[in-house]
Amino acid sequence: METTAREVAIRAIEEHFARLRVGESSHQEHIYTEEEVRRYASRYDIPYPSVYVSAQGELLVPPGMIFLRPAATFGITAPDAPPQARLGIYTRAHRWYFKPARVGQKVLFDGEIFDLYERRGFYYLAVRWEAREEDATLLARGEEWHTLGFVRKVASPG
Amino acid sequence: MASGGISQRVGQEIVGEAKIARMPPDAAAVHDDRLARSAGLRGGFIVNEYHFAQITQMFLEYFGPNWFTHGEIEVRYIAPLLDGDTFIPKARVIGEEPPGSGRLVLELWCENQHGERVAIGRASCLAPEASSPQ
Repeated sequence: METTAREVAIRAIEEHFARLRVGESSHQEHIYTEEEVRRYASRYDIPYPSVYVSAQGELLVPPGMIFLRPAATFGITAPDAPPQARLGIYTRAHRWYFKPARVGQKVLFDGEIFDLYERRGFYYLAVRWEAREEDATLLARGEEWHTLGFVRKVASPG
Repeated sequence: MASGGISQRVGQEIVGEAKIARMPPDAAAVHDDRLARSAGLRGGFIVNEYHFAQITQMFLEYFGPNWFTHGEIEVRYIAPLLDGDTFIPKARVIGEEPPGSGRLVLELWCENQHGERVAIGRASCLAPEASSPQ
């Protein structure tokens, strides 16, 4: 039974992987609300607002919230997809910060796939992104490496 | 740029607060223990946002507001952090790059309760005394 579920998941991952293209892009907009930020702080056990207040007294978004989610953006998210094929495993992230995002401001994300590869039975996507204010001021940018799903393809015997 | 103070920081070790990592109740399937084991993983593991939240907190406390404007971080997740594990972010200042810039470079790692590294990486940021307009 487990083998069947694994095979179904692998097939879904391979089909999705074959459709992805380097250069495929996504644009997203997000407003970080105070409720959302406080939920994040509670969820991940960090004090808030604590150090997340500007010199002008504005509430700031914790930098760890600001990134483009590779698997949620380019991976398998359909609720009827095999659960082992959905989303995946974060393996690496590289991020740069240039200006804090304020709670309540609109943040514009632009991301694109810059690498796709298979390694040791996992299918990977690598995504590069930027987060900007509405006037195009750069807030942050990053690169993220993520597997498609979390089931490993097993090499055929022989 | 206050190079005397910066040179004194080289070699400093920063240790974040040790916390017990807990699985959010609405975590995605990859974090579900049964499903993760069925896929051949050691178990459902804590979302990477947890690591990032704790590491960022450590750096904000060390660098102050400069982290918002000059922070850089690279993290590789090398071992799963399981529900109930202790998580301790650590870093060591290894230099200033480029020399005289005021930007400190750090080696970064995160340990569990067994002293095993679950994440490793590198970070850099303008030193606290190398002030910058926000």
